[in-house]
Amino acid sequence: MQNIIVDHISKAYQGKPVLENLSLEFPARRITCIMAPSGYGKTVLLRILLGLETADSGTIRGMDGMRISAVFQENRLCENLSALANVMLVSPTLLKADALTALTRVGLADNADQTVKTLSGGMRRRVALVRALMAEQDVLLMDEPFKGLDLETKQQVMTVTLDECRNKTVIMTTHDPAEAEHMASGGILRLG
Amino acid sequence: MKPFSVKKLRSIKLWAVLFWLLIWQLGSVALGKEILLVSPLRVIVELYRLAQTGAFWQSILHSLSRIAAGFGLALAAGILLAALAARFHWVDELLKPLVSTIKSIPVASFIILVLIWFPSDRLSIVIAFLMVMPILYTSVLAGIRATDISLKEMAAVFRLSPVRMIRYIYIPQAMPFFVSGCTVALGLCWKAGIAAEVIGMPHGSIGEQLQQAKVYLATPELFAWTLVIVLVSLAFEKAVLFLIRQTADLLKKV
Repeated sequence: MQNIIVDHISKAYQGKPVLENLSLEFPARRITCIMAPSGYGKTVLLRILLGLETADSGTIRGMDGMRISAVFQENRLCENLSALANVMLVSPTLLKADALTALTRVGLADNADQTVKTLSGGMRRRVALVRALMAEQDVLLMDEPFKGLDLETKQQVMTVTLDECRNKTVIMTTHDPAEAEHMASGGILRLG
Repeated sequence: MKPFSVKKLRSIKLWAVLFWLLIWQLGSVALGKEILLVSPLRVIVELYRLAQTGAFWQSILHSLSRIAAGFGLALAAGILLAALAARFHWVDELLKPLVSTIKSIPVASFIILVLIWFPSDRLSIVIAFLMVMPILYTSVLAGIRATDISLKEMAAVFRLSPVRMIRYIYIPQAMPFFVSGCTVALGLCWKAGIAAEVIGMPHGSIGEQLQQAKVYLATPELFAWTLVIVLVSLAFEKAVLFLIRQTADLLKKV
């Protein structure tokens, strides 16, 4: 697996530049945290890496043929499905027992069969995180993955995430320096 | 989401129903002419008498089977065409004038045209189909188009198969639109189907019974058959919506 290289990427919306000539390198099999002020274009960068947006100029290398998984800024869960069903939805080969174990590890043992729309914001966030961690993946992109979690839950979830992301290429954004220090094995990129 | 008509039914108070039945009873007594306004009690007695005959049940089965067949065919065609129109814009463009035309043509014109083209025995199938298909096509297409873009992006990132995408993303999002369309269409297909039978008089249908009751000025029978239409229509609507809800629940299982 090779490093992911963002080479002179630019992106503008209605003539207003969001990313300008940005070049970055994300080491393979490491967790890299991106820290930047709001509005700097972190989410746009992740959307370009996810293939949901096209850059106006510049290239991305190292993503071809990679299986991507993601924690979006919003949870993007199927509201009428249970927490367990949401996790299994994106991973057809995942065993139910493994999905249940993962949910248990983030404190959702009693909520696995509960419909997502009945869960609290923090619970939903954890379901979205478990879904991304359990999906078959080479690269994991996470946009403020621990947003909305209380301190104790955040610690628990970060431990599970670090454990599951061992030897995987992970790019995550955060505003929390302590969170970045705790997670980043591949370095912290401070933009802006 | 509870179907509109079920909610509407539950909001009807018993005292209000009894009040109007009483007005009806008093009106018929005051008028004193059964041929003009039969009393509710007389309608029940007539219904009981009709229910003792085999022809009564055969007529119900005749109309029910044909209107249900028309509804079923329209359901399949509406969903399939809406899915195609959502996928290929030219299908939507192609169907738009046709659907608009079918919607705006009076049902009586269709009935007469269909009587020229088809045997009267199949009349209610074709009319039910023509009334239901445009409604279901429009509502399912609107449902598919209202699908949350963020879920579509999620599905793309996680490489969801087309089958999973349809089952877990599109169907749940389109379901409220579909149920709402079905509720409207169910009532309409019964009204239009029976109207077609009254005009075309297919042998052994409810429409034929209604027409004969009118010809022989058998007002109690006319009222009794009308009551039958309302009851069968309601039962059909509830059965279809129950099946839809069961199917939707089944589809939620991953």
